[in-house]
Amino acid sequence: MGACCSWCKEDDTYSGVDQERTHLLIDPACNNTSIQRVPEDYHYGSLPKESEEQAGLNRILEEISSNVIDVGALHSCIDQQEVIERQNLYTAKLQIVPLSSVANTVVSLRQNPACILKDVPGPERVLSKNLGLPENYRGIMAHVNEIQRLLSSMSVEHKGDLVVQF
Amino acid sequence: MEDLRRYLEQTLNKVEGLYSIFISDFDGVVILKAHANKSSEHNFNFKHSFLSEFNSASEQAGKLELGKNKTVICFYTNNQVVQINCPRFLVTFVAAEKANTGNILGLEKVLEPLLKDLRAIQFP
Repeated sequence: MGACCSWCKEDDTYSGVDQERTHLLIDPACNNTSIQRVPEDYHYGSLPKESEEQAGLNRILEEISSNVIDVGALHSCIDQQEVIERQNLYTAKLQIVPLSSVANTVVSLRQNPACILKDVPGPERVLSKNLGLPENYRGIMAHVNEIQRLLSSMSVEHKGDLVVQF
Repeated sequence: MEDLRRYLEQTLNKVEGLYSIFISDFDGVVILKAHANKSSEHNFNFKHSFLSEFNSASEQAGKLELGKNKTVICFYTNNQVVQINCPRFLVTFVAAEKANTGNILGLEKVLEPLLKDLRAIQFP
């Protein structure tokens, strides 16, 4: 009895510490605390119903098919003839499309912008655009060059003193 | 229809380097398209399967723990393809590699009136 008490006390003191009774290999079966509960409506010795089994299998199949990456399914299965027919149908439908939203947007775009600054796509294209120069541009440039040449050659020629003593 | 196309072309000109815009159904059948020039029209005359496979790829990529996504952006050597999954339609943009992708994504809002008109049509 005394030995028993002594053992109990030792267990309390060194709980969590490795002892000679501690298993080196942890048995998963012993440590598994989750208890597999048997359903209440389960009858020992009876097999699950066939329909339930089939439904379960179907569910697994659906899950797998939704998760699998099917490269073969990537390819479109409609043929060229159907594509042409559908394009013709779309074109015919587009002829009678009510343009409420686009028309409103186009009208709003036509109105003068409230802001002077507006979004210019590709400003370098606008800035480097060849301006419509007048036909006499070359003549104007020739005259300007002549004027510049004459201006540069202008000088003051000394003829006499500006300040004269009386 | 001409008004719709003109609106699409105006939208196209809002972004520098944007070559083409396609509005298609989920099978890649083009409903409306606009090109910046004849060269773009010639170069980017895609098959319907090219457009629809972007959508399929987006769906499949969602299974790679990426979640459901709305936009696919692919950069190639010289071009970029931006595809937006709008309700009932796929909008595909083809642009130069150096075009501003953010501006292209912003065009979804600009195209909204056009898409609203298209949604009013009872497509099969």
